[in-house]
Amino acid sequence: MKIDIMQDMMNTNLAYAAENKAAFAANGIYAVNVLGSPGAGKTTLLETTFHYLQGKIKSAVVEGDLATARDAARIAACGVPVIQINTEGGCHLDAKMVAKTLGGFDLPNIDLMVIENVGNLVCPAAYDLGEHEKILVMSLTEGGDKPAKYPTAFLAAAAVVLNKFDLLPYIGVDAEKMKKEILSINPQIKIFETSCREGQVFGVDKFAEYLLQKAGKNSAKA
Amino acid sequence: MHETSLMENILATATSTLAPYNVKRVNEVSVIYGPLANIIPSALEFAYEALSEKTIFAKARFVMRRVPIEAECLDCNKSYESEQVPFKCPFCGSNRFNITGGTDVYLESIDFDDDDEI
Repeated sequence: MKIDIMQDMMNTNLAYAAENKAAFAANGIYAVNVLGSPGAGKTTLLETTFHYLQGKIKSAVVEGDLATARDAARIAACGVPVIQINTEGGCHLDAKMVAKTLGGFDLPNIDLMVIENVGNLVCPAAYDLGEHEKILVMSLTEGGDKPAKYPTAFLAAAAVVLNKFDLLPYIGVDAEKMKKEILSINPQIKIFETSCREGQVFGVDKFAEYLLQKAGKNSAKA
Repeated sequence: MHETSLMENILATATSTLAPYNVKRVNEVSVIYGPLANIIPSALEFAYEALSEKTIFAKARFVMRRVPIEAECLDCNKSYESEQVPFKCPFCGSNRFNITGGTDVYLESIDFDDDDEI
């Protein structure tokens, strides 16, 4: 005999994602899931962004890495509460891992929760963590051909931060063509151009402003 | 590369589905997946072989079927299917869309012989 089941095999993850979503909603938290390749500049972008958000909004971070607490230490140095998850080989964060960390935060005192995913352009795109939106960080040095090669990440993201623009004069990447390609995959995606290099920082203020608006706070009011 | 954890869930769901029956032999486990689920079919097949060993599923056929991406046009509100990006609405030509399907992996069905069957 044959039994029809038709059950979503991501159901366990989706159940935890719904729990996280409810916890964020109950505490008025805007949550973003930041993904991108290893070395795209995710942590550096966050460090630089928190510099702009300081005093305007209360942020917190969940850090995902295979090993070490290096990124958590960098975020903590910005004065932002952070909990590190080590996936010990796991290529992405799942909603259960995130759910376990939420008890360690003073949630009523947080406006913006940033979940920095494991460096990987593939698997994190398939896992809902209960966030409001996914933000993709891609550095120009990864190459202009990458958006078309990794379309699922660009389809899943509401915004993409093209980082390391300070290197544009030194590398053979056509940034305009890259942006066009991203928009051909996902015409609704919001694109930011940034450099987080000390002394050459630009564009991060616009990204920080975007997060402020999304979190329902206007910097002018603060 | 999350095929192994997916397969653990597939086999656990299949096992609990079959629990009320007197299963003599499992013939087929059937799964459907969307192009945006980010899975590698050969890796899922490999995970099936590895994880079904010494279980009632070991000798069953593992069948995977790929389904298209489903999108909803944000301009004319019609639904359409697409095999790949970029998406374009076949009705009005708009490229503004919401993805409504093709991102998941489903355990579709199990075919088996049970002891009560003649």
